[in-house]
Amino acid sequence: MFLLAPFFVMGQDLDTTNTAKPRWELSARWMNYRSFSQQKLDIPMKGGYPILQSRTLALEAGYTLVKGKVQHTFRINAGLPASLQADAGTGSNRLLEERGNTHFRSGMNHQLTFPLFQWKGLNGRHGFSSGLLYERRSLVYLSGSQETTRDINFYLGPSLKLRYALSSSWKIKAGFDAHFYLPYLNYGQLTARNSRDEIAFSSDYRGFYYQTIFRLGVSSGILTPNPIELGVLKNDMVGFASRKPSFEATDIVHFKLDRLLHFYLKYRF
Amino acid sequence: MNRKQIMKNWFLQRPMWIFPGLLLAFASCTDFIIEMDPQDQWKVLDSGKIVLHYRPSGFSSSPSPDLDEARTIVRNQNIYYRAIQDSVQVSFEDKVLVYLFNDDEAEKLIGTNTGGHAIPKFNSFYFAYMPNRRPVTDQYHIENPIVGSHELVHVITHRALGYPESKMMSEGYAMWLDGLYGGYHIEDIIRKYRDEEPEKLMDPNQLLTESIDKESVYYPNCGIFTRFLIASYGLEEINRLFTCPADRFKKAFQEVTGESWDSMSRKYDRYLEKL
Repeated sequence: MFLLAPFFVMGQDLDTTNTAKPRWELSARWMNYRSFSQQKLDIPMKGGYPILQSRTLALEAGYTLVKGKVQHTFRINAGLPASLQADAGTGSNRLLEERGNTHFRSGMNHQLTFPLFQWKGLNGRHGFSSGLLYERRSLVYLSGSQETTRDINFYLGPSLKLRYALSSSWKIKAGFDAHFYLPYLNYGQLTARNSRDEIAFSSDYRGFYYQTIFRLGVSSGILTPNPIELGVLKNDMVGFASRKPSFEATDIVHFKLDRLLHFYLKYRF
Repeated sequence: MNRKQIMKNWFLQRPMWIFPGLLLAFASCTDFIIEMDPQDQWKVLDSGKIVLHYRPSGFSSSPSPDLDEARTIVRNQNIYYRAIQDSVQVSFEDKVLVYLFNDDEAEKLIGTNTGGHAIPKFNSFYFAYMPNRRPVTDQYHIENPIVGSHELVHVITHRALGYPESKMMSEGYAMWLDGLYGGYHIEDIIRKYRDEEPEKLMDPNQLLTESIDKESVYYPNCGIFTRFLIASYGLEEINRLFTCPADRFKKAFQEVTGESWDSMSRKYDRYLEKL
């Protein structure tokens, strides 16, 4: 009876495309982070070994507001500080100490979308996505020398959301965001310390990055009164940072050749 | 209204549709900028401070280094590793990861099959295996080095002294400490430029502004100039200028050495005449 009960509960469509009520959402993500080295410098570039990688849990809270045809979604997220491991190419480390390497990522996002089309069960919205991303990465090399990078970055880009209603309870959701990080709108700091913990080098930097985010999820309202969504999110970020804001890679202080894969569970209410 | 007209009206009513459509088409992923292609078929030789990754025998139609060559490369890189630290007077104790690609894959995977490049943040450099290099004995008395010290200098200096903003200092240190370009000693190249092709002899201003960016001209000039700076003004002083931006370099040079840039340039002219 317990197992069958959910099938008798009508899934309530709580997607705000069909309702004017503001909605909250909470989600938990299992985040896989891989940061590649720059194996080939000229375009098309190639990322390769060594790779820095981490896995951690991230939490996100969101709030969606509808005004007429316009939908605003505000989200804030943060991952638990993760321990980084290095892979030199054969599964072995040879680059970093086992302890002390951390990666932390947190962000705020605003999605502004408008109706794009409605065709049978398929619904599309499009608009803009903007926000802030904060990243901190601390590397402790085998010698005990360290490099810490911290940056806060503003981004802006187009956003596309698709939803297909399989039934009144089940929906497939997909989305695509492209984020452009302009060097004039972000700031970072790099500090390198030698094995005696003396500062060997420090510099500010301004990044020029490009990020794409693909989402694919399945939402169901049959197990709980409010829909639960399960999905995967592919988050790719590439670019470089120079001392001065620049679109040219002439004075690279830092770079991001990152691939993130998130598995998420979202609850809307 | 036929189907074509319906479609046309539909698009006209929704001009914004084009916006995400185009972006999806052109920017659907980051792979058009960079492809992640981690190569994992390596043999690994880890000795001293060097970890050499090289291709196994028969990996491609180009030859791979055999074990004896791999041992020679690692032994030589360990010699360079100590010599670079002695020359630059910096302490660096991390292992350096060397990725040696075969000749027929290097162009595609690292962008060159005549050299390499370094990623100091990852204590790494990528290099093309060139079994048929021009025979030469380098300044460390190593005969026919398969992998020179140039990229190793980048890794050690960038990690120990910082990321240089000027190409003059970054390549200058690497060329000074490697001493070779294309299998020729850089002082031989500069003597030839001085005597036969004076338009290829670069003065300090030209080096700072990179007025000639052709590598075969710029690199040897950089190396000789760095050697002159260190011999004339001291290693400690020039190390302090390693990360100095090009637009502040002249002023910083005077502050550090007590000599004006113009005065130094005249001395450098005389140095080249006597080379």
